[in-house]
Amino acid sequence: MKIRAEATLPDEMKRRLAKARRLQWWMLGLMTGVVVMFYFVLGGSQAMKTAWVEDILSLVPPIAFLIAVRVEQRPPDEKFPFGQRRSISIAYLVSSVALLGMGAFLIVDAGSKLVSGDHPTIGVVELFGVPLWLGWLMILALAISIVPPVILGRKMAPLAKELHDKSLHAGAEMAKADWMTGAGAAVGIVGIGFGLWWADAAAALLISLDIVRDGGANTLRAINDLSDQTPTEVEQERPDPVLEKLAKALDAETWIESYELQLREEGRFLTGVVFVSPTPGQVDRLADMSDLAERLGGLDWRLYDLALAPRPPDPEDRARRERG
Amino acid sequence: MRRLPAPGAVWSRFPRDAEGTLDRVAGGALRLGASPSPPWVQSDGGASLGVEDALARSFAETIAAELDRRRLGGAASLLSALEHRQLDLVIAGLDASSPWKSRVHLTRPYFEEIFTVADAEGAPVASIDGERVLTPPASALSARVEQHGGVAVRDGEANAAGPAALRVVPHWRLAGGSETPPLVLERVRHVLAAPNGENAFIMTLETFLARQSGAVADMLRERA
Repeated sequence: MKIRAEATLPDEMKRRLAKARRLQWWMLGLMTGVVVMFYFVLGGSQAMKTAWVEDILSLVPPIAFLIAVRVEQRPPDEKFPFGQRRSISIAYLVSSVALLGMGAFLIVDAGSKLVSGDHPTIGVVELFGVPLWLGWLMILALAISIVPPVILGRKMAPLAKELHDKSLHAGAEMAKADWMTGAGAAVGIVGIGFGLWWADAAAALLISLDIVRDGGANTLRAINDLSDQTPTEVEQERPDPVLEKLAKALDAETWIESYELQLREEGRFLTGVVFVSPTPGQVDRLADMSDLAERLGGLDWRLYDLALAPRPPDPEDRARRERG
Repeated sequence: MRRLPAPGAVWSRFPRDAEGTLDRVAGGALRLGASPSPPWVQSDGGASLGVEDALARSFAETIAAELDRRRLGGAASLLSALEHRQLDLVIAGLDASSPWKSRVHLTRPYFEEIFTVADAEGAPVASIDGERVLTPPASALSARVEQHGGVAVRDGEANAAGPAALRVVPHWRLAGGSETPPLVLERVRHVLAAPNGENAFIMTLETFLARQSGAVADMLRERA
């Protein structure tokens, strides 16, 4: 098998990737701390338990990202002639499915508590000899837990866009939205304080619905990504602007009568084939193809291993061009 | 005995009960379920003498409630009734490892009882390796005795070798006070039970119990 050349990141992007890795390590560390803290104040609240599970889940994207980033940098070899740039997309899929699965479980858990009419007990702890309602400690823990993901999420979002990393982007969006989970759980606990036993399970249910929505949407995106969907932007489903860049460059080549792009995403890179039909009488320009391939590849750091393939001219295409 | 403010006082309570238990029992009737378990719950004729009986009486006094003792059978029936809010408080010599802990609220332990081994004078021993130890019948303590190298002898069993010199006792029965004994067979954390979700009632109960461990030790010494 022909082994591909390595994909390289420009220095600028290498720095950004290093920064993203640092932020993910911070996320991992701080969220582990939050998970441990929550464990001590869990008590009987379903909303608290749901927030705790969501925080455990929030460890999955950083872990998946950190592993994937190491794997993706392995150069192509005999076993993997295409390299392993897809690892990022795989990590994305793994994280999304984990989120979806857990969210579904939590919906059932909270739902069953509502149906069975379970009255949660939040009792009393002794802090320095003073009896204190555990609910206050829970609310405090929730307030603290909101801070790291919101701050880290805001820092990760611009990096995700620059690195064209969909999994980092998804992780950043979910982290930013984490304040809703904390606030929702706190509202549930305050509800219990007012004697509304159902407020807690209801809050847990809403939080789980949000998790399922996130998990579902991202699973779909990850599947599309791995299914070689037409390349799209990181944030929205609009076509990737790099395609436009390529089209413009190809239009400028006078010896090309018509062309067709067939590109797909591999992690953060774009790769694929450009089919080219030379204008009549310009068939000897085929020798220029490798030169063209290099130039096209240089248009954007994300273009990797573009292959140019000749194809016979399409009579319909020609007729259309002659008509003007 | 410290009294809490009368119900309906100006201070608005937080947290509140899901089913208004504290509002109902304070100044009213507290439905108590009691299942015999000496020395925690026991009666002699009409008098209730157990430690938990005394605690329940004290607690009722602090909230100006009258104890309404319900006879409903053993611990299991009582706890089931508690779960369905037919009772407000259950005393049954329960401990913190009870499997009912998800269906009713078990309070934080009001007393920790340590089972150890004492000699004929009531002094604690440090080792029971190879020794014969008299163990209460039908109890997990015999397994613990064996774990520590002793030989568990049950009361009433035919023992050709004569009576055992050592016996299993709770730490409060030891001569000379109840500091932690050198040999710990088992720790039992004693609790009461209240209905789930009645957070104001539970908070009042827990606050009361937190102040009682000294009183409990005294009560037990009287019975030792």
